[in-house]
Amino acid sequence: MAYALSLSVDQDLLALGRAVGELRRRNLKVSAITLGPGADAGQARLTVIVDADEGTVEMAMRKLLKVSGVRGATREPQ
Amino acid sequence: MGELLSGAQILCRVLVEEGVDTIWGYPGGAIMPFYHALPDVPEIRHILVRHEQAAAHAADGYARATGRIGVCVATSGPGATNLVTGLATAQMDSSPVVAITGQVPRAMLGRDAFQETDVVGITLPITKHSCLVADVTELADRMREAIAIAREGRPGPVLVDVPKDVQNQKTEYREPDPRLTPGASPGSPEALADPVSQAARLIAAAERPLLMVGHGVILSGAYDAVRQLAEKTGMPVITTLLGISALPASHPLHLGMPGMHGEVHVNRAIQRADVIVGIGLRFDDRVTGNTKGFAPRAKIVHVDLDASEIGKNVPVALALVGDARSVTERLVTAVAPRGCEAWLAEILGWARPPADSYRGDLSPDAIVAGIHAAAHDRCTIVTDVGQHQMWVAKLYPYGRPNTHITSGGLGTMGFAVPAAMGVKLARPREDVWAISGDGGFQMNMQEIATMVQERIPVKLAVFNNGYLGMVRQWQQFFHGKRYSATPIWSPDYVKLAAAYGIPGWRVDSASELEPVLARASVAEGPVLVEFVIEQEANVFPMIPPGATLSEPIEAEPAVGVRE
Repeated sequence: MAYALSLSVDQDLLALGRAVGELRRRNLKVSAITLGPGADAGQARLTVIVDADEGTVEMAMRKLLKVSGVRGATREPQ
Repeated sequence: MGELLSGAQILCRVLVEEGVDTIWGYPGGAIMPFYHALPDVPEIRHILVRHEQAAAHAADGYARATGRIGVCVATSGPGATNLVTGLATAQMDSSPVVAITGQVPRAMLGRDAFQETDVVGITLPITKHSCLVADVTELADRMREAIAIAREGRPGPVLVDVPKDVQNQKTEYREPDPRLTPGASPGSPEALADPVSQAARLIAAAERPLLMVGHGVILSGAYDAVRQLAEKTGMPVITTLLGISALPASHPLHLGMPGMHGEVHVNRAIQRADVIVGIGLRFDDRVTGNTKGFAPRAKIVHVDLDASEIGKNVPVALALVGDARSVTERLVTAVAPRGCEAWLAEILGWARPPADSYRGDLSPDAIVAGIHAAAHDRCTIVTDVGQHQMWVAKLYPYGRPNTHITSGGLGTMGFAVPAAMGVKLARPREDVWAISGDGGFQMNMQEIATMVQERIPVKLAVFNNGYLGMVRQWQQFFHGKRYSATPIWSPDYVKLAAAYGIPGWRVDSASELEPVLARASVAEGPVLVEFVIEQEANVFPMIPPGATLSEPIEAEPAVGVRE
């Protein structure tokens, strides 16, 4: 099932690298990834469409929330 | 106007501010400004290691023994990459190690300059946080933030990479702003009152409850709370490899270690339990075996600071997210007194002596007992990885908390010798034994020179069986006894000790144990004792990889190949 993960991330490449790396090490199937401005200054909005089961997505979300520079994360089934 | 300091001086100043008194490192081109500033900082003792990997392990050992941060320093390029194994070890075992690396000047970044490597990129997945500081005016705050991140919540390693020109630049030094709480993570989870009462009700209703405790209990200092919870409820207690020493081995409720090399009765207790209260452990694969068959009858109550650990490996009936100590203290208050005498007796009835595969005179049991007798329990044991690690974990009668330090998650051979240096500086008034196999010892034995130069009196023990023993055991059990690349030659360790100018002994038989260990025990400097053990001794029992805890190997199996 496809989920849209929406991450609020510090606006620097290191934080983005950490967030994407967390998805990469899980070998998740990613069909789209976009970066845009965030709601707050210094923040970016990273949106990733992943194809995985709910449990996998839930574990990935918990790990993402631990990543230095990730300020928030939500998910929506597509 | 604040004091004008160079970036290198700022690094030193922040370390002193944070209470750092010992750092481990190795100088080189890109970190020279830092080393130029260091002699003016008498508060910090620098230990020159012989390889940067040892600096990271020593800082890790120091951090584990003190509960404070451990700091290691390296230059750019190979110096920085040599830290990698130590940082990954600290990451897997939640140890607050702070690495400072020099980097090529900013103008050279990305040009493949001499000794340039993207160490921040390399360490991204194996640190809690890493950054390159390109602006000297931010350096103090970035260092403080990194240190706070290393310490807070579930501890872990951080890396701060500082270009050489930033170390040389001067700026006004600003004291820390007390209003800031750098690194505080948003939405840190806290335990709720309701799950504590639910857990208490589950424990009260259970017929066969178990308490499983892990490294989180050591990290949070929850020893008393765990003992009180066990004694108030009568729950038998299992300690994971990194939870060993959280409860004295002699405590009547203490069962031992679970998992791949856990005793049969311990693993059977897990398989029969109806409620398992797991505190500060992550139910890793070495503990659970095949998770599909793990604790099939049990409702699992999981206490962990890290919400991402809940349900990661095993299904959890109830989660209590919070600090192990505070949650366990609340559990102690919430639970009703009860006993589990019949359940404990049933478990102990399953216990049986391990298979006696040992053909030689000098058994691991005898060596471990000998070290314990010589040290009178006033010592900390640091182990490496492999068969000796399992023998010591299972056999040493730990009496005091946090006296067993080992590389658990990453399983890093070569850890013990350098990590023991860190432990010894943290605990100067007690004996520190670094126990290794002949494989792991040879990975970092160059650090004897560090011990001699810096007067760090670690007692070194080498279990020499002429093999990479644990791999050989797997080859014997699962690969048709095809001993591929596991026989390993060693130097003459007594002569090696002599070359470093320290006492060394070889023990070939049980009768030599007591006199040699007595002499090693009273020696003032580093010592080395080689124990020549049976070449093909095995660690029993053993859960084969991929099997459940109900399928132990208890004696040498027929030779065959397992897919």
